[in-house]
Amino acid sequence: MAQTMPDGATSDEPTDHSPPRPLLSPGVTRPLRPWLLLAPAIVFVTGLFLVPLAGILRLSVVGPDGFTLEAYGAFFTDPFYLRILGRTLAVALTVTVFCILLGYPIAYVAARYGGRLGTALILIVTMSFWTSFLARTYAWMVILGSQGLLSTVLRGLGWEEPPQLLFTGIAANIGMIHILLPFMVLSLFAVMQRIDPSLLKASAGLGATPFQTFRTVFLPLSAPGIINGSALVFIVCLGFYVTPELLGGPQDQMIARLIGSQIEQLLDWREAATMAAVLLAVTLALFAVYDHFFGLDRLWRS
Amino acid sequence: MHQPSPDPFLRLEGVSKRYAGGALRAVDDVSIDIRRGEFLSLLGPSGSGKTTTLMMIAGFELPSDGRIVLSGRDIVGIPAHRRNFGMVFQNYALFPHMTVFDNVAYPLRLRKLAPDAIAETVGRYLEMVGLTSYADRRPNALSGGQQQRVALARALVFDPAVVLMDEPLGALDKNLREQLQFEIKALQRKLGITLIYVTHDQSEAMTMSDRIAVFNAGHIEQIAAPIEIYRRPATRFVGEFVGESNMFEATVSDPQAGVVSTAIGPVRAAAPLDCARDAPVLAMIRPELIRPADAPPADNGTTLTVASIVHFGDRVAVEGSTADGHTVRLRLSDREAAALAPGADLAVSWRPDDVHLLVP
Amino acid sequence: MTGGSAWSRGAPLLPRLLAVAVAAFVLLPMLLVVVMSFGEGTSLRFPPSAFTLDSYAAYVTRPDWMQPTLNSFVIALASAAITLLVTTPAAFAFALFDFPGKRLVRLMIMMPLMVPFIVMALAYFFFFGRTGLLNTMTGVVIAHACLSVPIVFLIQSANLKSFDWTLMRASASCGAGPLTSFRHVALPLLRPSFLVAGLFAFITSFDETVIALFISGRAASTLPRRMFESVRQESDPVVAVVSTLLFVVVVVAALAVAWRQSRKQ
Repeated sequence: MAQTMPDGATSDEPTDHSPPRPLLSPGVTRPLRPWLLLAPAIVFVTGLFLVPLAGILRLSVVGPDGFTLEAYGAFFTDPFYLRILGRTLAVALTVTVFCILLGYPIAYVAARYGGRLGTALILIVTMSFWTSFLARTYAWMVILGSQGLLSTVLRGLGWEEPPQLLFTGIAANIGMIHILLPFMVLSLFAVMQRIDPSLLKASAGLGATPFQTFRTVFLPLSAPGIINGSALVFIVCLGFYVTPELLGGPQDQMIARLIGSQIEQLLDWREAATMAAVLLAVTLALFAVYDHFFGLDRLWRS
Repeated sequence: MHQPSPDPFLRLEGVSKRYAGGALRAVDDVSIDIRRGEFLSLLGPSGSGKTTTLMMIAGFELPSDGRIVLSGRDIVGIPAHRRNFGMVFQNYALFPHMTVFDNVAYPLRLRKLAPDAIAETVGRYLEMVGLTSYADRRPNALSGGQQQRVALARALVFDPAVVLMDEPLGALDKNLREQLQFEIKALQRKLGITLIYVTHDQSEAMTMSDRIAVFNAGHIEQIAAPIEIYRRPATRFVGEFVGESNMFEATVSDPQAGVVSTAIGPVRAAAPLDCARDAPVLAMIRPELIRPADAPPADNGTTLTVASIVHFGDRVAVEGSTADGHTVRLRLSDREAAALAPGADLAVSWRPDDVHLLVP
Repeated sequence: MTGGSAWSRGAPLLPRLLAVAVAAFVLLPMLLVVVMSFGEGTSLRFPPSAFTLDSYAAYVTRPDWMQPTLNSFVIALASAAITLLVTTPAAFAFALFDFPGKRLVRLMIMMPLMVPFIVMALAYFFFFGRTGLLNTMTGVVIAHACLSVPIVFLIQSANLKSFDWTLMRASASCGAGPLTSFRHVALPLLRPSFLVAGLFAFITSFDETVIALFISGRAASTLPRRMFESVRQESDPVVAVVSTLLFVVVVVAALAVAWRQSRKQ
């Protein structure tokens, strides 16, 4: 069997596992066919996604007298906007760090030790992942509200005036961590699951303590999972609207909420468009950096 | 090398396939005439162009050059599904969502046969491959050998003009492979099928084929009957790829007498040579044709020091070396090898008839 | 889910405790919602003053909840169907052909996954405002279909990668033309995975909040939009019921998948 494989498995042309080309018998329309198949998607995405997107970008650079970068100048010189941009990045970073810290133990125990506990852990995370994030945001309103679970418990413990948590930045951060944690855990788990157990045994066999094995073998090998998970969490967090809007306070504006309130109040189109363009640029820049170092395909797989 | 036959049924004329803008020649100027009812094997190592050639015949690859002519008509422009060729693949390629019956019936339904005619024909072919009682099973409930029998029935059921097989037994174990070789050959004879069979297994090609086309690096080295390929390989590659051989570089010393000089002494062939004196040639002697002798003769023989003895049960492979270190391989019977031990001297000889001279 | 046998010993205590604690942090808020759905009175008080099924009755009888639910189903079905129709041929093109500009087209198809939702909410708000699709179901369907394109594309590409293309050659050798082969061989075999891709598109649309919030209006309000308004403006306990129902669907589906996987092993 093994002897027959070298020739048996491959045809004479250089092949990988990609399908033989052409799959359907060669016909006259061969050069045309891919574009016929692609046409619906290209037309659809261009006409109904890219055109609206371009419309908003155009809006940001067109003033009463034609092309102008005035709005961008205003954005980047106004300390109010810069503070909001800075806070958005800081919040995204905080949420990402907490997701790593909370997510790593779950993924580690599930991937490295498996068993019933591992299955249960991953099942819980997966269920959370698929549950409507509005439902989860609502849960945190119940927990953190002034008449909510936490206040009730604290009052029961004798704290007469527990601090108001709902409608603060802390509440928004907790909610976002809870909602984005599954992204992190599943990214970590996917990578950790592929770590070859024999490497850890080899390390132990060479005299490393369990902690040394973890630090010098497991942790570095799980790094791609940390990077994938962090990229996902950070990027989603940058543009997060619903949860901060519902849990956060008016003084903890993030850029997405600012755009949202601009739409609601129909204020200045150009200003809203400019903020959207900045958010888009930051997001795409992060994707580009990721693509440069790791390739976007890896991100999509998770 | 390419002998035109009186009634070519399927004919490849100068067929080539180039990839990567012509840089890679997968198939290079291949010409074959295939007779009606013939079993032709395309034999060669991996990457030799045999599968690509088969795919061009099937219509799954477009030749870069050349013509493929079926009964006088060029079929290069005809898509695969209109060629009416049956095909058997290495991985069986049975439709997993259809029963065995539906798999075999598929070509007939496409040809819009009446349901009772389909039932009758499918039943006949399933009986032929011994799977009548499996008609309602799904392919994944069958063993590899059974699946390939279904594939066989599906490729034959619509009475195709030509049947193409691409390493059909490559995924099966040895015993099953031999059994199916026998069954395929029997079916091919019985139904008078024109069959083109791709394999890299020389013994498979030897036992089944009417003729073998030996492929190497995209071109055909030789097309001939199996025994002809074995006895009189046209090139060094064929001699070494098909069966075991002793191959000695030689120069012609007496063309009239058919004598060449080699590192193991003068070698005399049965027939005069059609070359000049001192022309370089190759002298090939199959291991089983070298016999132990009482004393080495003046030519066609030598004395060896036995280097290794390997028992295969039915035969013994012996390797000896000449005084100046050339290796000679022999096949002996158990009894002939009984007295031998490594380091012993062994006188051998061979008949002039058994010497095959190749002009490189 | 993992090769438990390879790791014969259990996890050390500290990581195990941490993992369980975090899992509780993940799970408990969702369970709290279930408790709230049986509560009486406003939606944000815990513990509820009394337990009742009133909110469930309210959910199924009140048109201001039933209509958005229905809208969400219609929008999710329609957008999933459109996405499948538009994206599947492209996935085939990517699986079957090499063509110039492949990377660029791929990037373009993946774009909707990279643009923040709030940016698209603004873009569609402006675009549909001009084309008269603001506050219509059609607008939401279009927006959601676009968002699902990359998701369906990724799933379909993976499906086509694992499809045994030799079967198409086998079908051709039996005498079937490309379209016949597609209908009799590829389609029946790929249909289950097409349905999975459709399901993902459906969920993407059903769950999407931000864009629907700004462009669906009262007339075409989706369920997430209704929930958003409910928790922001009212103290309507029905939101707990809807959240519970959404959670229960996920739990049932997850347990079913886990059960099937454990049976396979």
